[in-house]
Amino acid sequence: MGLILYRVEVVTDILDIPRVQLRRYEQAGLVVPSGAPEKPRGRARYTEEDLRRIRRIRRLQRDLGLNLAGLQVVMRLLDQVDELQRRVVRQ
Amino acid sequence: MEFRDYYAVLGVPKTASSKEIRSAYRKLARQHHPDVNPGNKEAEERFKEISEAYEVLYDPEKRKLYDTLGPQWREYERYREAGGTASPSEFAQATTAGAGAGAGAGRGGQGFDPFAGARRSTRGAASPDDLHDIFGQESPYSDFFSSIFGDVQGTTRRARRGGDVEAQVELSLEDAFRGTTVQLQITDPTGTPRTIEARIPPGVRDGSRIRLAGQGAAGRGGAAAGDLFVVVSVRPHPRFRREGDDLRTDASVDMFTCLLGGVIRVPTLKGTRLEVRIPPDTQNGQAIRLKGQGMPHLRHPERAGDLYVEVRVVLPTGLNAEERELVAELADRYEHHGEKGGAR
Repeated sequence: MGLILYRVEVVTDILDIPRVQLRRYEQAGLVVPSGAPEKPRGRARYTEEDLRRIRRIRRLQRDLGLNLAGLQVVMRLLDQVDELQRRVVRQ
Repeated sequence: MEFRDYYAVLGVPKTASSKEIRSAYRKLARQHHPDVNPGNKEAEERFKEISEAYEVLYDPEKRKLYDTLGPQWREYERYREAGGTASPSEFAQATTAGAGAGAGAGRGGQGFDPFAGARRSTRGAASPDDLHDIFGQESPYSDFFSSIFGDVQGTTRRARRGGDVEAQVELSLEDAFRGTTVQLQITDPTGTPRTIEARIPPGVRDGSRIRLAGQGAAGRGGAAAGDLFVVVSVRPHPRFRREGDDLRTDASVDMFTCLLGGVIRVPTLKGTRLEVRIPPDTQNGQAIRLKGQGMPHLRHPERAGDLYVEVRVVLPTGLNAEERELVAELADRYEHHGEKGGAR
């Protein structure tokens, strides 16, 4: 299975999210684009997994009215839950 | 088919302001959010209802449509599909007048609650939404919501072509030699994954970009989708090196075969082994060309590059005294002939 990579403008378009909002998420450490840049010194691109994460952040923000600090806590907990589930599956 | 009363779901009056709706929604969402109630199916279902109600009622346009249409949404949908252009309110007026009962009368009348009731049992078949991220593959929205409002993004924004997307694919040299098909999973704006099969032609090179037109991000408002570019990276092979369409490989050949000539067997990328004639007096590093045994040409796969077999002479080791004497004798004769030998 190939790795799909999205440039930032495609991500903002697909998810209908302002670029400044995406920057805020990144600055808060909620999401870090994990795909290789298009050019050697270019901006990292986003993977499908990154997009799923941003969707989840958006949904949490809208549904629960969480601010960035709240999102950081919830996302950290959700990451831990995901990691524990992965470990359980592996065992 | 009947529908839920979204106002009742959120516990707000029909006159509620959007602020009241949002407040009611958030209060309920905090209680029933799946991330707060992991594994609780009941809470998940309830949250879906709440989200659906909120999606409709918080947006003034959608709310208006919902208030106007009531149970006539299916008729309206069929009417639009048949090419009808009337607005929802015109449609509602026309249909209720024909039936002898207005929507308003229905709402106030005997047992007619346009918003009450059950939804179709196949909820999972409804159009997808980004709540997939929380709920997995099951859509949180009923058919009612999706069929009335359809693609929310597409209906409310200006048409614009979708963005181009890149897929990175790593192949073995064997796959690049034969050509292959790779599966790519791309998620559309609603969060639904779709699988694309990309055919990689034989002879593809490291860094090749293959364009799959219209397979990128979906366009808006009926505009064309972007393109998907498959960028191929070919893993180095332990035995073969690639130079354009030519391949190079090393073959270990014993000293005697190099001196006297002989035949060796060389593996190819096809998986076969070719017999290669080593001419007498073959030097270390000398390359023997096997025509047409290299990589297929990308645009003309019927043509192929060449395979160069580079000879690596293997010297005998662990000679006994007698053998060393023989070699020394050979060396003496070699020098005696006045030919230039190696450093001794």
